[in-house]
Amino acid sequence: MATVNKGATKGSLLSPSARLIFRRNRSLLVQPVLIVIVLGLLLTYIGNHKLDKIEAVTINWPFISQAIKDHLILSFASAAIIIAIAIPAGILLTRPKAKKFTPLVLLLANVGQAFPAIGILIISGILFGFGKPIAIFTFAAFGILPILRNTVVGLQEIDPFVIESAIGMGMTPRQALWKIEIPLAVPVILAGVRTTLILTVGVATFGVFVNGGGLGMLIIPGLKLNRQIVLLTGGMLTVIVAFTMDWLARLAEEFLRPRGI
Amino acid sequence: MQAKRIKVAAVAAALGLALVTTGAMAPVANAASKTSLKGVSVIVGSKDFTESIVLSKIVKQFILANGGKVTDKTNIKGSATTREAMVKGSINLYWEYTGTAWLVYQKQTDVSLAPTALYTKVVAGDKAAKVTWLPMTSFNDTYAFAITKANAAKYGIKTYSDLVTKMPADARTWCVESEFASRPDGFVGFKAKYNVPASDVIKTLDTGAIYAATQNGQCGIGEVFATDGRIGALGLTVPAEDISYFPAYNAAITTTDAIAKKYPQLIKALSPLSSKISNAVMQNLNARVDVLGEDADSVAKSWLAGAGLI
Amino acid sequence: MANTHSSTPGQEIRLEKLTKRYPNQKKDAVKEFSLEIPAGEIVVFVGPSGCGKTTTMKMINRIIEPTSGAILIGGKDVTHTPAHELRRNIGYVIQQIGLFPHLTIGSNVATVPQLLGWDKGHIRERVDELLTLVGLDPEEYRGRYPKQLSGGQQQRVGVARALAADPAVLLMDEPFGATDPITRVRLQKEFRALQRELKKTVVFVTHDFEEALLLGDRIAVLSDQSHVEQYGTPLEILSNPATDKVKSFVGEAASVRMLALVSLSAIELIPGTKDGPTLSEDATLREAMEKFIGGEKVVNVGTKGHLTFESLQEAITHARSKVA
Repeated sequence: MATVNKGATKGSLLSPSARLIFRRNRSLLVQPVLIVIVLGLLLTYIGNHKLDKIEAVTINWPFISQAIKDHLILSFASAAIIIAIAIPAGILLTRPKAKKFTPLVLLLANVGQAFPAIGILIISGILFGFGKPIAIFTFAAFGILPILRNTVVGLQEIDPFVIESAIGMGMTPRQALWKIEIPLAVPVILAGVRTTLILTVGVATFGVFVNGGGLGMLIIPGLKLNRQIVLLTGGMLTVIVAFTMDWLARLAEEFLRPRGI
Repeated sequence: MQAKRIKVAAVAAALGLALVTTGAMAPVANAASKTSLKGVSVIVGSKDFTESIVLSKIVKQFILANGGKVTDKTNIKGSATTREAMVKGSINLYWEYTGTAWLVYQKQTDVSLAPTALYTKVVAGDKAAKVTWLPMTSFNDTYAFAITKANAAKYGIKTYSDLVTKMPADARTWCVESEFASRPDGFVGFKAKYNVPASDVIKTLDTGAIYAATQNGQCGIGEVFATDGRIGALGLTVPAEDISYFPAYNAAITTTDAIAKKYPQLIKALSPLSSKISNAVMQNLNARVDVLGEDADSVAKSWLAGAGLI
Repeated sequence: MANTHSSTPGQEIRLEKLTKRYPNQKKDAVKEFSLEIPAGEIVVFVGPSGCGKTTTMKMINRIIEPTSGAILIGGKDVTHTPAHELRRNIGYVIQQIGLFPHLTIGSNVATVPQLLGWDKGHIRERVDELLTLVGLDPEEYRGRYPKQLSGGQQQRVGVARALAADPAVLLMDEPFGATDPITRVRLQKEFRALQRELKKTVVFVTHDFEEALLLGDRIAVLSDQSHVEQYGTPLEILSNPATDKVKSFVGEAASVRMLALVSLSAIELIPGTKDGPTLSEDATLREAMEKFIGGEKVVNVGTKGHLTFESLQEAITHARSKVA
C-alpha cells in the first residue's frame, strides 16, 4: 500500500496549477518550443528560396492559410463526429446487456480501418457528391476505432470492487456510471481522443482528392511536379498541425484527469 | 444495366474495327528478324498510369518477340521517381513526355513551343543528364477539357472558347486535379487565356474521379488527358483548343547514354515504333485496359501483331 | 477514541430460507439459509472457503439477488423493495475496500449522505465526526486521496464510509483481511470498542475463527451451501462443538482459548489479598493462567480477592459446566 505522508501534504495532489502540471510532465513544455522552432525553420527556408512560377501558385499566404483552415475544419469536424458516436457507443457496449456484442462491434471498427481510404473516399464522392461533407464523414468512419476501443477498455479496466462498492452503497447503475465509472475511464478515453485527432490530421490530407481542400493541396502537386519546397511545406505544416493537436490534447488530458488517479 | 452493356459492346466493336483498320494500314514488318535482339537484356520501367504501362509493355513484347531478355519493372509511382530510377540504374528505359521533362526535370517555364521545337530543346537539355531520347510519338497526351456529348449538343459547344461563352454560368463547374490547378501553365494560365469568370465554381478532385463526376453531372467541365480511353467510353467529348495554350506532351522512349551505347541495335530497332502510335491508337489501347479490363501485356502483344511489327 | 453521540441502534434481521441458485450449476450455492440476528449484536458467519458465507451476506443487501426466500429487517420485509434504496440504509464494507480513487477521503465518506440528499453543512460535520471516530485526524485526512493512505488507513476510511449515513445494519466481508497481522489486530480491537458504543447490528463474514471469537457476540459456523452447523455464543461453540465439522473447524486447544473469553469478574475468588501480582476484574482467565504458568503462586484480582492455581482450575470447571 502507499505510504502516508506524515504531516504536510504539500506537493503531489494540490490544486493543479499550470506550474505544477508542467513540473510533473516536462515534455509538455518542450513540445510547443519544438513546434515553434520547426515552424521558424520552415519559414526561414521559404523566405530564403526564390520561388519559380509553379511554386508561387501554392507557396503564398492566402493559399496556405486557406489550406490550413480547411485542414483544421476537416480534422476537427471528423473528430467531433467520431467522439459523438464512439464514446456513447463504447459506454453502451460495456453495459451488461450489450456485452456480448462487444467483440463483433470492435471487429467491424477494425475492418473499417483496413479499407483503402482513397478508394472509399472517391466512391463515396461519386455517389453522394464531392466536397467537405463527404470527406468528413468518410474520415470519421476511419477514425472510429481508437476512441471506441479506448472507451471500452477504459471502462473494462476499472477495478470491479470499486464499482461493487458504489452499488453496494446504494448508487443506481446510472449513478455509478456517471459518478464513478466515467470519471475513472476519462484518462484512457482522452488518450484515445488524442490518437484520433492525430489520425484525422493525417487522413485529412486526402481531402485534395474530393474537393475538400486541406494541406494535401500542397503535398500532391509538390510530389507530382517535383517541387521540394512545396512538398516540404505541405508535409511539415501537416506535421506541425498534428503535433499542435497532440500538445493541446495532452494539456486537456492533464487538466481533465481526475485527481487521485 | 442493359443500356450499359450495349454501350460497352458498342465501344468494343468500335475499338475492334479501329484496330483492324489501323493494322491494315501499317507498313508490313519493319525488317526486324526474330533474333535481331538476341543478347539484349534490359529492365523496362514505366509510370503508374495505364498509358505509360501500355507503352512500356509494347516495348517489352517487342524485345521478347525478337529474342531479347526483359525484366519488367513497370508501374512505378510518380514521374520523378521513375526518372530517378532510370538515372540511378534500377531501370534502363521508360517512356517520358516532352512537356513533363521540360517543366519538371529541366524546370523550364516557357510553354509556347510547338511539339517538334519542344522536343528538340528537351533532347538538348537532357544531354547534361546523360539521357538519350528516341523519336517521339505523333500523339500528344496533353491536358484537355471534356464535357458530356449531351451538353455539347445542347449548348452547341465546339471550342474551348464556347465553354465560356455558350455554357450558362450555373452549368459551368470546373473540376480539376490538384497538380493541374496549381501550375501557372495549368489552370491558372488557362483561366487567364480564355477569360474564365472568377465567379465560376472550381472543384479539386482526384484525376480518376473527374471522369465519372463529369459523366454524372457533378462537374460541368472536367480536366482530362487527351488520350484517355474513358473519354470515349463515358460519352464525353473534347472541344477544340481554338486559342493555343497547352504545351505539348508527346511521348518518347528515354534511356541512359550508357545503355544506348551498349545496345545500339536496340535503339535502332525501337526507334520506328513511336511514329506508329497516333492519338486514336493510343485512346483505343487505353480503353481496352481501362474500360474493357484487358491485361496490358496482351493488349500490347495483339496490337504489335496486328500492326505487323512482330 | 470515540465520544458519545447518538447512533441509530441496530435492528433485528430475520433471514428466512434464503436460497441462491446459479443457472448453470447443479448444486445451490446457498440452500434455504434461515437465521435470526438479534438487534445490536455482531453475528459472525465463519466457515471454509466456498461454503457460501459471502454469498449469503450479499443477499442481505441484495448485491446478489436471492433465488427464493425472505429478508426482514426490523420486522419489515425488504425482499422486494428497490435495491438501491435498501442499500442506502445498510453499511457495506468489503475486503478489497473499494474506495473511489478519484475522490478525496472526505468525498468518499460523504457518498451515502450525498445520495440521501443531506445538506452540505450537515455532511461536512458528519464526515469529520466519522473520521475522528475511526482514528483519523479530519484536518489531515479529509483532503487526501486513497492512494496516499496505507492499507490500514484505507480500511478505516471504508468503515467510516459505511457508517456515514448512520445505518442500523452493517455488512462486513472480511474487512480486515487486506492488512498485515499487527494492523489487523489493532483494527479488530478498535472495531469491537466502536461497536460497544454504536450498537449496530453487524453481519461479519470471515474464514478466521480467531477473529470470530474476538468479535462475535454470536457465531454461525457454516459448511457447504451455507448449512448452519452451529449457531451460538463463542463460549458455547468452544465448550460444546455440536458436530464433527464444527470440531474440526474450531481446531485444537479449545479449552485454553476459552480462557480468553471469560473475565475474572465472573468467577469466585478467595477473599482477601495476598502477596503477589494483581490483575483487574476485567482481565481474562487466560491472563491469570499466564501468571501461574510464569511461576506465581497467588494472583490478586482487584482489591477484594485472590486466586491460586487450584482455585482457578475449579473456577474453570464451574464455568464450563454452566455453559454445557
